[in-house]
Amino acid sequence: MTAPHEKSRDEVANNANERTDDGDRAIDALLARVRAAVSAQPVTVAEVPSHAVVRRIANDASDLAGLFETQATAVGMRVTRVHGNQVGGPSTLDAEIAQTLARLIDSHAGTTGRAVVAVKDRELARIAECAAGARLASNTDDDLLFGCAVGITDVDAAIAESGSLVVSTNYRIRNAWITPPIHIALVRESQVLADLVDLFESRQDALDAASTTIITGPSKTADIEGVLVTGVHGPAAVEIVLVA
Amino acid sequence: MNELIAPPLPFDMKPRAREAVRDLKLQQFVGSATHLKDIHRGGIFDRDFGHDYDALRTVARDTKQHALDHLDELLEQFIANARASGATVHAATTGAEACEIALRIARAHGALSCVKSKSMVTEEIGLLPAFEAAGIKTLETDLGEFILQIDGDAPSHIVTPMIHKDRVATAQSFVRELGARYTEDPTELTMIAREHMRGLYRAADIGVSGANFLLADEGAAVICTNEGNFDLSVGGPPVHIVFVGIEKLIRGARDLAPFLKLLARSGTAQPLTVYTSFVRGPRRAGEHGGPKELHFVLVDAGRVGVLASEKRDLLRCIRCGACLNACPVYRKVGGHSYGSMYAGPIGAVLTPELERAQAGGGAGLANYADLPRASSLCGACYEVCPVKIDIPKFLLHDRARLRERGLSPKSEGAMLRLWRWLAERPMLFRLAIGAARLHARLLGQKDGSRAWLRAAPGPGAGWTQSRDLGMPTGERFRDWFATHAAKRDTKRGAR
Repeated sequence: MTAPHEKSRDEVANNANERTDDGDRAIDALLARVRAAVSAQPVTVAEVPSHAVVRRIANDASDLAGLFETQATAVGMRVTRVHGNQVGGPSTLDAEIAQTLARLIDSHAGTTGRAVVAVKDRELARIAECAAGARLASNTDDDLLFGCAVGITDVDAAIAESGSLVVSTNYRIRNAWITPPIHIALVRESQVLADLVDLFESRQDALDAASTTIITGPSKTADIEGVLVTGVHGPAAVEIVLVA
Repeated sequence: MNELIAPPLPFDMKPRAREAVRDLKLQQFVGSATHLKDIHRGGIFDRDFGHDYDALRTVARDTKQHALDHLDELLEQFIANARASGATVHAATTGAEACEIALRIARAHGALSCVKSKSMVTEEIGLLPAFEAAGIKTLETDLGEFILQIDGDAPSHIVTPMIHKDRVATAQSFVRELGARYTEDPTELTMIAREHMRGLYRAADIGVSGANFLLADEGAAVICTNEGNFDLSVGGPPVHIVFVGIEKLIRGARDLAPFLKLLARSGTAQPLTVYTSFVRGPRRAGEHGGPKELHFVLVDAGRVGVLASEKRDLLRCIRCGACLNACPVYRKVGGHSYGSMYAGPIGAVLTPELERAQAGGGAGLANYADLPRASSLCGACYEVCPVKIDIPKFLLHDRARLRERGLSPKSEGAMLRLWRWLAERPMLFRLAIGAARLHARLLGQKDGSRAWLRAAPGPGAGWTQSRDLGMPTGERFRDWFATHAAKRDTKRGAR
């Protein structure tokens, strides 16, 4: 790295190439030093060990959806299961999802709160938009997330072992799952993976986006005297609609 | 820099430790909180991994060691892949260089305000003072760090930075600094902070964070939070800078699972942190939200020196804080006694080592001579470490170096020589022990069934200044052993 010298803001902004050269030199210097440091000590681990022991849940766990429900509940999220065969309920699965969503939006957003829909799955997006109805926030407004009471998303995957949701920015408004005080997540049972290991080994596509977040519970803090408080920055409640 | 974590050198631990031991509130908070955390940590591993816990730690140890042994290759891959996803990568040899890089980025955007999520390395390099000096107002968004910031205080624990503070102090600073109404309710206090920060997230010009892991395959960073403050600080501002020590590199997501499964369980007894966020390049075409520019600042600040040394193992640390919670010394003296952002057992070995690697020669131990001695060598830190760093081994190593360089107290050498001389002379040894026993009996004060020494004479006074010394009761082990050996021989003879 060359000695930094004073430059005006414009000069710096207009001198992108020079900065890159400086940066390249610094990176080359770091690489050279790391190479020397690495060879200064013997290699003690020749191969990365097998991760078999890391997996807690066997792939053939018979009821992944059930396990997901249990674990998600244990970390403080609420799960509503939708089977499409509710007695006296709507006749189709879609109608039952819509009804469940509408009920959840009503209970959390009241009659005036707005809902943002950040759903990649076209079918689910259509249902969610219908359920939000007049409360649907228009996503042309850059400030929309901070004004919404509810964020509705689908997921890239869910993880049974830890009760986690995997949500990426791939075709979803970033942070729709974290900015509004309530997050409603639509999960299809077929999306539930057994273990975190499965996500990293077989669903690399889920990590392909600019940003991916694994969510395991509502936003939490215990910074003040170890007292657990939810909703510190992210949502205070996460509602999961688990669709058969 | 805050003197609490960046004290004048050479650092003298004793006055701070003395003060902490006398601070009844600190004794209560830190002592009970760490004790509970340690119990919960053990509980969740028992429940979730049972006998496989040790095997899981071995996998994590070897995976991270392998990464360190191949760090040059991983760095090259990371840099290439991060660039391919549109991020800019910088390298900084020193903390000052890292700050200078950040200031250049901030100036290029005319940034005046910054939202920052919790990061140890930014404490290390002194980013906040550098930003403040340049007129960039920075908001710590982690609740604990925020409270410390408005109070001019410093973190005393890697994971729970305000473990030494209570709700009353928080309530008072919220009234004073935010004009809030007085409340001691943690939920209300949290909501006051939430409302205060929401507007600032939207208005900030720049976002800053650390990272828990860097993935070479993906060219991505992984950031773990419970509050969700990282996602908000990366989602709003047009520019985001990730500061990260080079030791955070692993091969990729394929190696990540063991660390995620260990990190939150070790730190806070959770299966995973609430948010595990992957950042892979800036906002893409057609995306709504996210930074238009993403910068990674790869920080050396002594790490390359540690990598080259026999203490390479220390770089495996994933900053879970379990060794702090388990340490009987940390529990009594609190984090600020260590004079570094890295407190507790790992801090006691890492702080002098990073200093040595940066300042060169003997500066590390000479400047932090108290740290290797701030341990009972009980081994609890090693037992709870998710990546099996043998901290007691390194503490002993440092103590030996202190002796070699004449940095140990003279009395320590004299005591050890006396002990050795006695131990080589059994008759004298027995006599000396007998005399010490008699002495202790005479000085000890009876309290129920036990006797305590409240004020020891001579060089022992230091020990009893802040605690009573339990006196030996009943018979001597030698006598007990002799009696039992005789009984055993009689039994054998009868058979």
